[in-house]
Amino acid sequence: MFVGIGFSQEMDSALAGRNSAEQAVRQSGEPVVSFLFTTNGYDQEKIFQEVKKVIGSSRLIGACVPGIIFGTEVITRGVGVCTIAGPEIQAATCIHGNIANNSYKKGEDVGKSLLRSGIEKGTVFIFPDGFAANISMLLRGMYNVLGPKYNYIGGGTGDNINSYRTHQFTEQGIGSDSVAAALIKGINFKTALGHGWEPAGEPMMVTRADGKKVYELDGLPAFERYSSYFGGIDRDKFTYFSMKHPLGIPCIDGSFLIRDPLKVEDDNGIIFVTEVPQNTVATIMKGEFKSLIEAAGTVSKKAVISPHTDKVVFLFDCISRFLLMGENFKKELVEIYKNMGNVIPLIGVLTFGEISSISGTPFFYNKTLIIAGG
Amino acid sequence: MSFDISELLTLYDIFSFSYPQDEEDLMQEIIEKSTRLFGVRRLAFMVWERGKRDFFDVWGFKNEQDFWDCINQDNRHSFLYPFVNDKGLIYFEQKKPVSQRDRRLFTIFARRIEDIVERRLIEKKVIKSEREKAIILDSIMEHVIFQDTDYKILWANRAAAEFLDTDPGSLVGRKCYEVWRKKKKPCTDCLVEKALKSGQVKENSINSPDGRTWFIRGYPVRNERGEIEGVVETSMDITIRVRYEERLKYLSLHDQLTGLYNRAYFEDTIEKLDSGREYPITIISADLDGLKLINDTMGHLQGDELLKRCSHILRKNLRKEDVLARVGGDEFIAILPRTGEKTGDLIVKRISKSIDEYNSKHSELPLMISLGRATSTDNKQSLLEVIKKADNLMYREKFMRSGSVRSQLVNTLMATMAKRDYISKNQVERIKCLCQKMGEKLGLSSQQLTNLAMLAQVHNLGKVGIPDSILWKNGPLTEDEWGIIKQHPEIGYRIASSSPDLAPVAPLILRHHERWDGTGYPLGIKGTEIPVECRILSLAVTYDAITNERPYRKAKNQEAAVAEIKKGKGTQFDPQLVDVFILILEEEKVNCFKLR
Repeated sequence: MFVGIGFSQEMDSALAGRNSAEQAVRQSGEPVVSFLFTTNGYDQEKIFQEVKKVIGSSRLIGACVPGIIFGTEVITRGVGVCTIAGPEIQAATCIHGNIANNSYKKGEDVGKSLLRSGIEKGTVFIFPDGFAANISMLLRGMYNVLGPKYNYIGGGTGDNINSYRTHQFTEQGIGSDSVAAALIKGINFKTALGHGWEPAGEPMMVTRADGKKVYELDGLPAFERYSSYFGGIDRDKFTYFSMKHPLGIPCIDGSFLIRDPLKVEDDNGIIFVTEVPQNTVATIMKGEFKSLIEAAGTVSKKAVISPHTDKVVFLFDCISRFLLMGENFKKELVEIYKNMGNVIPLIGVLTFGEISSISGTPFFYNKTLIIAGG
Repeated sequence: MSFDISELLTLYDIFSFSYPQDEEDLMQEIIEKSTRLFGVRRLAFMVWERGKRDFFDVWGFKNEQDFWDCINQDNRHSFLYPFVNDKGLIYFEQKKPVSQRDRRLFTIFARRIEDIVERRLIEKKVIKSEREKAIILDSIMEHVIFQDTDYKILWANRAAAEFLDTDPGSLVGRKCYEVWRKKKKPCTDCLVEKALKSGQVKENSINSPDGRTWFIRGYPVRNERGEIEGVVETSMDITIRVRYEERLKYLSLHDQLTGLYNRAYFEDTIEKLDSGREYPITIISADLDGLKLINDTMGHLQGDELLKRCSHILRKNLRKEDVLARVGGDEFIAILPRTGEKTGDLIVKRISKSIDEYNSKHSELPLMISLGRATSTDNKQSLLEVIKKADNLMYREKFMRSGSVRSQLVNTLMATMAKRDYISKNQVERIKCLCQKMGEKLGLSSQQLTNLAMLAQVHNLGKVGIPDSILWKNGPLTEDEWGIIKQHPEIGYRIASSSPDLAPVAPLILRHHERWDGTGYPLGIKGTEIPVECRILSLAVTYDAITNERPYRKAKNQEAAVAEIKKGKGTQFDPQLVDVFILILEEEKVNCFKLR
């Protein structure tokens, strides 16, 4: 297997696309599958077309993301390309639109599309529109068709926090409100996941929720109950608290699925980045920069088999961690990178929710980082 | 977090299952919880209801067979939990081998799902039962409402709601008396209240302010401790039924034509009065004379009209408390409680006066009513005997004025015939005169002469039964029409036979179109088999027809008439009588022609 990683911060869209792709292909040779990550501020179509010219008949998967991680740097304006070549590599891709509507069925459609490739095992990369509703249902539907034989990783995509126009790529075209997926055989990925958040309070019950909105916690208006943990907080201070104190939903082996609160509505309901299941236990979480960075290091150790054998590492790190940690986020990347002996090519992205099947089936996480090395 | 708290949180989560509306939603919740809490990779969920598969879904399997293949293998990664009584199963398969802790938590999780399934099945049965109940109760016309002890409506069927122009759901929670009667407290004599207080089924008919009649039933409902917890009130609109019943009751006691009481009511009243304290009681028996003759000759509508007029006159001369009944076709009896002889006579006189007044204004169809009055002062004599006495007195009066009655009736009849047959009174008188002369010349008996005169008057009586379209057809009659015309002697015969007044001339009416040579109708008799009265009438009618103008031809003189009659001598007419008739014409011609 040969891996190439290219990166460009050229202002011109076509040039940025071509340069980054050419860099990658020079390293890997003619690719079987290529990853394309772009940021806001470019003509996405031009990038797409230029990259396709360079990678030829290679399968393509990617998305526009809020930031590209290249080594220990987060680039908020640029184009990153990762090409993978080798006779053992097989890949199939698909893109499906309008995923917010009947998500479970759309997930099944994705699974059926990938199954048609005849690839019986491998890793499924999934890049849904991170702002779409019911990504969890999409993943369940997809898993119902593909089953447990595959490894699943990916992340929710979107250009930045403020703009809701998203772009997902495959070689078939560019989508929005879509999911781009690729099934890749020939790379033995090892995946690890972590977040560094710990429970801070006693358990609460999500007594009323619908999709991304939690109406009630413990039978009280969600904000009222959430706020009571802190002895009462003003609405305008909610973001300050919510960034540092997401909700944790119990998971297998004592872990927690993090749900990131986004804003308070007039009815004191709380909107989350990702849907919260009704009638589940939840607890308010806390996290220090130190614990978050340590968690990143632990994840990195688990994911990397050996700096000498791994050919490439993918990192999906939540934009929320980036925003919360600010300048300290670089420390997280350094912590991650040092376990790779500074030799393994790493390409990562900031995501709106992270996808991993490390617990058995694919889940959609928040405020988490996922590393896959292979 | 310690291991224990993690398990506690898992238990919290397991027990915080929502209660989804259907199995599909339940399946999604099972997937969410089992994958998150246990790392389940594949699962199956199945529900059986009465031995039939009610729901089945697998997740993470290629297909159902994939699941069945798995379940039959010894798999350390899976957990299978069959529900009790074969009501279903849940199957989990996880990434790592199932530990004791996993088994413990899976069991609790599965039992929780089993509880929900059990509850769902019960709920489905309840829903089915409720639906069936609603279908049954909504399909009936009766209003059905179930109310609690505070009159609050807990359930109402569609008929009840539609009556109020609303839907059943909007009645729930409202008070019965507020909804139906717009009142703030229960109605007086409320059946629901009675049923609640007594614990017994109560029923009654009530009238609502809009004039409807309702049959209401209050059925107390008890809980398992025997305490009354509400009442099922059923209401049926029986307005139409009550009206029918009242109508039937009216018809069973009244005469439909006159509106007077009928014989049944009369007999019932007599029975009650017989043993009562209403004495003295006067009975007036009244009989409408000549009804059958009117019916037969002028039709039943005319007869019915006469009966109505008769009943009207009788009724208006009686008091409110008096009972007047039509006890036979033309028989009426009035029962006058607390009425002595003197008052009884006054009332009879009043009735007679009314009849006279009526007849003075209606000479064309006068009322002839025979009356008889009898009075009982105490119950020593049965009222039936009193009635018999009144009847006897009535019959006596009828007999005493039978002649004038017959005369009036015949006059009425002839007036009617004249209208239909264009036979003038003078024409009848001429024929009657000729017949009379012939009869006297031939030395007929006085009875024969009387009959001959009557025959001259009513021989065409049967024509009242011939339709005008045939009787006055402008043009030649068809064979069938002639057949109908030729029925008039028989019709006349039947009419006359049914009337005591005309019965003596009935056989003559039957034979008045026979001919001497036997070619007449309807019997085809000939010669002296034909009664002499008929042979005489035949000559008189023919002569009068020829010598008098008719709408379709002019009158001829006597010579022409004689010549015509002579032509029929021995064929149409009795030859001997022809000679006598010509002789009379020569001797008596002036008298009869004066009538012209």
